[in-house]
Amino acid sequence: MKIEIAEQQFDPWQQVVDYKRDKLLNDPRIGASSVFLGTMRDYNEGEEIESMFLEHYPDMTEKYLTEIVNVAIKKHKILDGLVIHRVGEIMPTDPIVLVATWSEHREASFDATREIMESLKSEAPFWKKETTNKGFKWVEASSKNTKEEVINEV
Amino acid sequence: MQLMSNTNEITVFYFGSIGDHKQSLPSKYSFEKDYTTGKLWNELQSKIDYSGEILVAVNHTYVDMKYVLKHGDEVAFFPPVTGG
Repeated sequence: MKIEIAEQQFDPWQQVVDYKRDKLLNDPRIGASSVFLGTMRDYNEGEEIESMFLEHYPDMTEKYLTEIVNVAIKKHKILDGLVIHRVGEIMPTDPIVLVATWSEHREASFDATREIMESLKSEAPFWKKETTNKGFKWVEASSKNTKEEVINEV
Repeated sequence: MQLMSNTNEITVFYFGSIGDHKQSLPSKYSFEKDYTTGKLWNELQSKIDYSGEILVAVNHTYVDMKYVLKHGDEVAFFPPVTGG
């Protein structure tokens, strides 16, 4: 498994090729490789976005991403998983997040990749701040990505 | 004879839109006993203009607002996450 918080732009396709060759040693048990890549759009909710800043909570982010991938490895019996997530200043078309999984059969890697991504969206402590021609704006979580434990009452 | 201190101290971090208010919020906080994350958030919220949803983590693990704080805890308050 590899979890990386990337402060600089990365080439997701090269990362997948390199990881499979150098870390998985082209494991001949691999029959399926599944990849999700999230990239930055230049619009959101009808507004043009010039750039975005991604903040994270160091240590907690790595802890949760590791747990999320470990859960997927156990649940779906995938052979391995890779997550790379950008932080810092990001421009439209830049990769934001890469999730790749490898398994013997396609169902496992399809399902694991999706579940890792959905868990990341609701649990991993990242926050997006968009820059438009009107200034800065923090992105609000959509309700489907909101962690269930959100509690306002005390 | 040295008196035993009942004062506990924690570190507090703020992220996302709550982090915009950190000039008005303490990075260290002291309390005597039976202090929960909920009580702490109520006190902090009264210092800033924030009424949105809130998540809280202690020592890098999500907790609820009933968590009883301990000396040395690292507490973080932040809005729902928006990565990916």
